[in-house]
Amino acid sequence: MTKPNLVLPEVPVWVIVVAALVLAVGGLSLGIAGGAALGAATLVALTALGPRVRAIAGRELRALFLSPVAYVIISVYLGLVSVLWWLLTVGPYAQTTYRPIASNMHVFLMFVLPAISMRVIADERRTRTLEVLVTQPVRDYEIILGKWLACVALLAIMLAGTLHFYLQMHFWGEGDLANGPVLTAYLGLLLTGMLYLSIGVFFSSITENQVVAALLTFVVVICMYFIRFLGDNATSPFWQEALHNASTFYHFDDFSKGVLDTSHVVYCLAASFGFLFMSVRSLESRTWG
Amino acid sequence: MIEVEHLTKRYGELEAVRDVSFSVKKGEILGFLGPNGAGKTTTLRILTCFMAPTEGKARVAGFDVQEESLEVRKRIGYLPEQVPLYRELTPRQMLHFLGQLHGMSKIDRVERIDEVAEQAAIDDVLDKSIGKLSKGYRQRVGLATALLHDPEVLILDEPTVGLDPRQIAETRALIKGLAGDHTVILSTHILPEVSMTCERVAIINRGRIIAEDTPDRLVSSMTTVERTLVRVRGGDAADKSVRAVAGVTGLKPDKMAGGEGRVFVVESKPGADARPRIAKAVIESGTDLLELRPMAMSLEEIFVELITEEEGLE
Repeated sequence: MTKPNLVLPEVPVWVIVVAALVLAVGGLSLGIAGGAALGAATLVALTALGPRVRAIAGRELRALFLSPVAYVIISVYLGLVSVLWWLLTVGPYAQTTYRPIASNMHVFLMFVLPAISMRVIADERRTRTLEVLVTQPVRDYEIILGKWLACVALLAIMLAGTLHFYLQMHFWGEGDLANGPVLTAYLGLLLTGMLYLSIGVFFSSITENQVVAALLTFVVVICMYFIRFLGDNATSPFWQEALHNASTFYHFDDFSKGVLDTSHVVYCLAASFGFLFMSVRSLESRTWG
Repeated sequence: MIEVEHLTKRYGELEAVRDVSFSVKKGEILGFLGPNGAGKTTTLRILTCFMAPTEGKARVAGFDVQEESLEVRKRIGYLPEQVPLYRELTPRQMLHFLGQLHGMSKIDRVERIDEVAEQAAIDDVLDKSIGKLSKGYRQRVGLATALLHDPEVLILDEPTVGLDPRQIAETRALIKGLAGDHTVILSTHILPEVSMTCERVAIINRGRIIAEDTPDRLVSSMTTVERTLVRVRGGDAADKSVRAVAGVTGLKPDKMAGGEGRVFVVESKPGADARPRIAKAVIESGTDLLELRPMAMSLEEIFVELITEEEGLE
């Protein structure tokens, strides 16, 4: 067994449970504080994309935070990561690197992100506010971009909420934690998360049922993760490489190892662009005679 | 200001709008009248660029709704049917959001929001959540959102649904006041609304425009027979002499009418001016004349007549 990264004194179970809860709540508040800063930064960045994209993203974020959705999703995610972190630092599977934590954070993202993106268009279709939105002087891509960026801002807030796990390991951990891989891992989480959200926006744009949108997103996201293992069994080297390259697992793996390869960055951004483009077309389809 | 040429919209097999053409001049109010499901909403949705026609062309303020949709959308204020609004926002936030989409500066928005809130009489609920507002208030918030950017063209789909009688009167007055500076199309299935607010009416049924004119001219052109209600006291001597009056084509007793005496409806040729002679004939027959009044054909009857005629053709 590897040397535990964190050594805590022998404590009764209830202390650990309480501590975990405090950490989760602390993480949430830290996340919200960090998120507010991130959100402000995002809004500044959005200004560059024009006032309409910013207005749409701003309204979407307001809607997310005025309903319990955002809080529930962030809490669930941070709760899951807290338990995981405990298992992988002081618990039975203690490690000295951040990589397994990041890999699992990635897996959890696949479960929670479809719940963020599911409502963006589907809900407007159901409540018919989409009719108001698309009859304003707004281009369809501005609507899709604004909504997607609002989801990305929420993702950033969520990821910011996990940074304190890293800080604790950095300052109090016994192991010699390398900072580079943590940085690339977070970049990988953000980029793959952006891809999952673009898939979610696409499925949200083709249905008015949020649950259907979330399920379809989840299925596609899971398939993109596991398609790598199909590649392992492929006989031709071409298909092997093609299937590996199609898999988010394959690309995220390098991020979590600390490898920063442009091909992975391009993969995430290009695939996001592809799904966003299809979302714009899907929104446009109402005017196809 | 609005030109619609040979517009057709099909949903698969169903033809929602069939070869519809009409035009609206600047500053005019056109009432779009028809039973539910006649194709009013579909036509308005094409004009607002929400959907595209299967065939035909439409231009709003000189711009084609398909080719230059963004330019069209800058110039219209649209109140959709059932007034969809963001429930989690307050009217003020909603108006700010739409103002931003129209590229209005913050100073402009603050100023215009005060103005339209007063016009639509929603100043007292500006900061309440839209989800908690009554149907009447929501309807007027929708009207305020359509007016916000002071559009050249207003497209209102059933603007008075869900309002109480006083609010209906206020909203109609507001719409009438907008004419001149604004061009308005409003759809409704309520007839008095059209005769009260609109300068011109287009009656639409089963996706086709079956009549289009001013409310008055529509009434006179549709009047094929003039009816006069006569109430008398006494025997039926009057009936005979009235029948003999020049221009009278028929006489029907109205057994349903209550009150004093006997009532019958005299039918005469339009323009024959038979009323004074009918009165004379009644009196000369020795019967007491209690009441005599013209029964003008209402827009309502014309509407029903046109629609039944139309259905009879098929």
